[in-house]
Amino acid sequence: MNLINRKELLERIDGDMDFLEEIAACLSEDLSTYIRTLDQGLQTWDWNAISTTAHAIAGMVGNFCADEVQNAAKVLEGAADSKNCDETSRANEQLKEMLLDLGIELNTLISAGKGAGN
Amino acid sequence: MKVLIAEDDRITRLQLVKFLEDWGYQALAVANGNEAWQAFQKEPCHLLITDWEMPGINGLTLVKKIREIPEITCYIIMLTSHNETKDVITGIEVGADDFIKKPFRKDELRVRVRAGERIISLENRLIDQNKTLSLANSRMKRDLASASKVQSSLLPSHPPENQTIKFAWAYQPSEELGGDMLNIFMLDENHIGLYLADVSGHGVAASLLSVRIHQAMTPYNKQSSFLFSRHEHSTNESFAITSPAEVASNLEQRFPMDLTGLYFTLVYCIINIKTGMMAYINAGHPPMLWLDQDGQSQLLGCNNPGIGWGLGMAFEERSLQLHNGDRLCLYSDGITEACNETNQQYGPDRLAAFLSSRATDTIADITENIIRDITLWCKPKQPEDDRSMILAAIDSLS
Repeated sequence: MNLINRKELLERIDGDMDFLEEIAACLSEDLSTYIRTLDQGLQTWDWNAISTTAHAIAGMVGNFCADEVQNAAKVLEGAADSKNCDETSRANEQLKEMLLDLGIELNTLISAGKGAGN
Repeated sequence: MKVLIAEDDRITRLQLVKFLEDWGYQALAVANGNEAWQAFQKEPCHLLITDWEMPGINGLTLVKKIREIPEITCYIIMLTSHNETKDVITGIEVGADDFIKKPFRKDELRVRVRAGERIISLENRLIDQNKTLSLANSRMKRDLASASKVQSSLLPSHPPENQTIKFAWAYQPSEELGGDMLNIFMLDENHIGLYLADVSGHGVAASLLSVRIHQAMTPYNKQSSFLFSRHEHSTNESFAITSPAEVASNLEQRFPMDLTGLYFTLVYCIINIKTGMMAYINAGHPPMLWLDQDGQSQLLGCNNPGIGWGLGMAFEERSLQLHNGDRLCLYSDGITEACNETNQQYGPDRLAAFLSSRATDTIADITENIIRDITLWCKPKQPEDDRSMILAAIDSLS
């Protein structure tokens, strides 16, 4: 797992692990809503909802220096914009997996960072 | 400094608030364009950081709405994942000042916000300076209006009482204060004096000198007036009328250009109302226009320089016998040099023709109509020089 560019992320937040923990909690909360919206959108092929949500996720994960995850969200946005069912389903699955991994990697990073701080 | 943040992504919003507050700014964050517009209307901010894509009013529309309020200065930074040049151009066209690409780097945000703060500070200083200038300008205009009233009050309020010569005059400064001055007065029971002076330049300095000329050429205080001189060998307070050439010499000594930085032209006449004999001096002024009772006109000049040049020359004085029905016109160069749209001057010939063609009109009507004719001649141009004129009609010499 190396989805996060840790050096860049820590620079961006000035090594403030409490703040990282705060925004990671926001990510976790918001992602569960976004994933639900994506799943519902895929059930009804609501292309606009899928595209908008994928765009929002791309922006959000960008804050964590997770370029690969951001690209996966952009792929989903593009697939929804072109109304391609197969590609959209595939991109959605891939993104969900990556988001799960991102959450784990973030938790690990925070625990390690806070442990080091203590 | 107050910073308004309009960003629908909660994490970006949190980051912006944290960073800005850490740097000492007062940050208010909202989640969409509508809320941002409401917050801005309630309390305008110095700096706005807005996302481009937002629910409701998007960033571009928000920027447009803010820029429609002309009196508010706000530096606007757009956060965007749009990085095409055409998007940047669109953003700047609607009124954004700067862009930060998302996800942003903290140090980049810091320098861009600092740049915005510097510009806002400069703009605010400029606004304050403009306010100060505007106040000073209003005060100056009030002062000039008051000074203009004072200067106008020095003009003759009515012609000197006599049965021989009728007078009319016009005075039109090109700015609030003029450099022209004129007066008509009784010197004694047999003599009337009249003069028209034109100080070089316009504005305050020229008008101050014109006021000093008026003081020097007042008949009311014989001791200090240039118009009279004490009789030699006289034991009591008796005065003689000073000749026009001597008046010019005295003015030359009193107002050298070295002292004032200005010179002036002058035409000064003394008319004996019993005999009709006129003595006059013309120092660098446009020649007087003399129309005889048959309507024939002649220009009356002298070979003298303007006053103040300090050339050390004796002023040449001339005389003329006036008759009933004659008319005399003293005027400043603002009358004859008034230009129309094609830069053609009004000229002394047109002035003479105008006067000749209105032999039966009253001189007050003629004076008023000449000024109107010149204004029409110049239209739509505004006067570039002061316009002043004295018209005298010899009516009943004995």
